[in-house]
Amino acid sequence: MIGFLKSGSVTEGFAVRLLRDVSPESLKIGDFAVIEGRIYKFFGIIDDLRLLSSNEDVFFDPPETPLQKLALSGSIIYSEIQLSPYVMADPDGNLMSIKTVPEHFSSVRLAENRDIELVFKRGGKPFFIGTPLTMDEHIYVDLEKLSMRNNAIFGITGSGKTVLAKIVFSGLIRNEIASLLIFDMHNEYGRSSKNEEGRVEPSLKTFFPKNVKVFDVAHNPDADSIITIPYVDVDPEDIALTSEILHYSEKSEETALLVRRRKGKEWLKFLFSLQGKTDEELAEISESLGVNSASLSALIRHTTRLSELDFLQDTMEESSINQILNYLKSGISVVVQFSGKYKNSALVYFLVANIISRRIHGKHESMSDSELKRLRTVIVIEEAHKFLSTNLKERNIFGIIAREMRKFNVTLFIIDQRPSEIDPEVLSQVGTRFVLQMMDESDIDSVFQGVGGGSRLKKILRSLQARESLLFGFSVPMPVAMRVREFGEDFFKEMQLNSPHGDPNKDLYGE
Amino acid sequence: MKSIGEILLLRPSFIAAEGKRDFIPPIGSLLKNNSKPLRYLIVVDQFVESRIPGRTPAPYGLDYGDIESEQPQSTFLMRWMYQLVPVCELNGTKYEAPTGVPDIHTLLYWVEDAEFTEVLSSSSFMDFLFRIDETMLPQRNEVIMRLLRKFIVSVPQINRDKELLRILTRLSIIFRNDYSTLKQFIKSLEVKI
Ligand SMILES: Nc1ncnc2c1ncn2[C@@H]1O[C@H](COP(=O)(O)OP(=O)(O)OP(=O)(O)O)[C@@H](O)[C@H]1O
Ligand SMILES: [Mg+2]
Repeated sequence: MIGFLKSGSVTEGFAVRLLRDVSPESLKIGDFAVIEGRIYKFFGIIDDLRLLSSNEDVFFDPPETPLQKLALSGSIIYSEIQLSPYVMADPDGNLMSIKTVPEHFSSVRLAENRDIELVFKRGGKPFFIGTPLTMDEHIYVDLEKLSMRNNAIFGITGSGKTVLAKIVFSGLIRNEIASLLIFDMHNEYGRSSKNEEGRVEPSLKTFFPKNVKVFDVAHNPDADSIITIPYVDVDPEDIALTSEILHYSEKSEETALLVRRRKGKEWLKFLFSLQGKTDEELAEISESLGVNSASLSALIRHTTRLSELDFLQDTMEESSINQILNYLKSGISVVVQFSGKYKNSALVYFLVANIISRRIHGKHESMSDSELKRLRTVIVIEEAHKFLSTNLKERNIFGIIAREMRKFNVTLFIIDQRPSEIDPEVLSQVGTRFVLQMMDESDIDSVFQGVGGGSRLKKILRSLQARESLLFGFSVPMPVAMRVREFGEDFFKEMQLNSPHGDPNKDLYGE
Repeated sequence: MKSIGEILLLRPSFIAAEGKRDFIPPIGSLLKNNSKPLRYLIVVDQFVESRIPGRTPAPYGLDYGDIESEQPQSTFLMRWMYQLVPVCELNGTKYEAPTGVPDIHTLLYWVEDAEFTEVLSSSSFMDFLFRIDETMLPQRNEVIMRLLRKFIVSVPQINRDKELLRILTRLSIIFRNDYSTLKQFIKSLEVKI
């Protein structure tokens, strides 16, 4: 027991008076505590600690010896914690939201293994994701629920977003919850990646060789396939998302749509063929197309960079997009990587992500309910704010996916360090949030926008270090501050040995 | 067991016993009676008064040591008294608030050794000490301080800090609104022995 309930309310949380011999330093913000009510157990998080005194005189003549200090503590000087309750359990272990308050003097203790299990290890597909900040117990997230909504990982650079994402994705793949489509900006989710110390660590393809396919826009020894996208598979809308990079105006967009109307699927090829034409020639062509010639030459100029992309090809061969969609459909996850000269190319990243995602959107919308039931797709984007910024609103496919695709079993998994730049409407559609270390006030504010008890969670967030995460939302019964589980040998073994498809021993014994 | 006095004065809110000229129990001593109900009383004051009401001693101008031999009547006309306040009664194993006053001629005895330790270790006894009305007895805290100090000194060295902490903790609750008094207690009890 660490103390007893002194005061509080359902909405404001509880003040807990600490026992005299409990040092406030033995408790931390984010610790998971339990109030033993007469009937219910109340589970909460410590979100503040306070030093108090019943008599200010003591500060004019402070105690002089340790014994004196001890004698005064608990009466003249004392400490309290602020405890925010999140769920309560009835005697049968059923969890419910907080609907009542425990009595005065109810005893308060730190959570134990059985409490953490009661709250986090429930039905569905519990997956060990981390440990409470000051305990060794396991925190589980329900993967089923996770995959049913959009999710997000936020945190500053180096806070551990990618590693946490790898852990979550491994869970999703191993438990065959969903097919992932990962737009892997920094080539970290394929076969392996380098950690900060430069050590090479295995990644999804290594854990689940049969359940993960790696695609790349350029040559990459780890890739199963190189992406080719025929010109005919590119729509003007696919390019719109990259308009900023291409300096492509709204006018150009309209012009592109006009060209497509005239030229059909060959529009892009046609556009590229106009490069190097003289002004007179262009004027003539504009006239025949019925577009403004200045607009046409601007469009040609702005799309020149596209014609230089190797993976966009004038071919009638099957597009890699179909292959990708087929894999996803059969439960295989796809990692799209960007190697060679397209490493760090924002243009290529956005273009490819946009084209593929738009196709998925189109496909799913035309599927029957029974087809959709079997299929669950999670689209992962890093640097998500660039896909989801406020000024891209309507035409933005990722915004559409976030808002409307849940019913088609397609959800978005956002990884980002600048949540304040993400469209708040999209943020409001995020079901579960993993919030790692964050510094910027506007980012912190936006993460908690519209979250009940957000101001309390903010306090906890401020106390987090790298690799520690606040986890809250749809797939956990209550928010929890955790240390993300170690991404190391134990995890690697667990993934490979228990994987339904990647068990190397199975192959050895010829099963 | 040898008595150390007899209650001879019972006035409203005032109890006093006569001691011996060469020994009156010091202020803060804990005494008891030897009959039922068992009462604990604390010595709160000492005084000397004339046996004959209204008589005041006359000055003899002698050196103090010579008075008794040269003017012996001057000492047997006086009596050496100490004032007592009942703290509580023991009913079975329970300490209870004192009921009524002791009888006149009640003989008084020391509370000693194991009994002394037991009584002083009881937190309800402590609370009864502080129920003594300070407005009627302004020296109450000083009296209690002496009793507690005597107790602390009596505790074997190895247990002393523990007992001291127990007492100080209790005091800090009793005096949570009066830190300066609490500090006086702390200072007087925490003397290095
Ligand atoms: N759970 C973990 N187990 C072991 N190491 C970790 C863990 N989380 C983070 N690390 C270490 O911290 C480093 C940085 O983590 P990570 O690459 O995930 O950060 P990030 O938030 O994705 O940063 P950036 O925004 O720069 O991509 C990793 O290379 C790894 O060494
Ligand atoms: Mg990263």
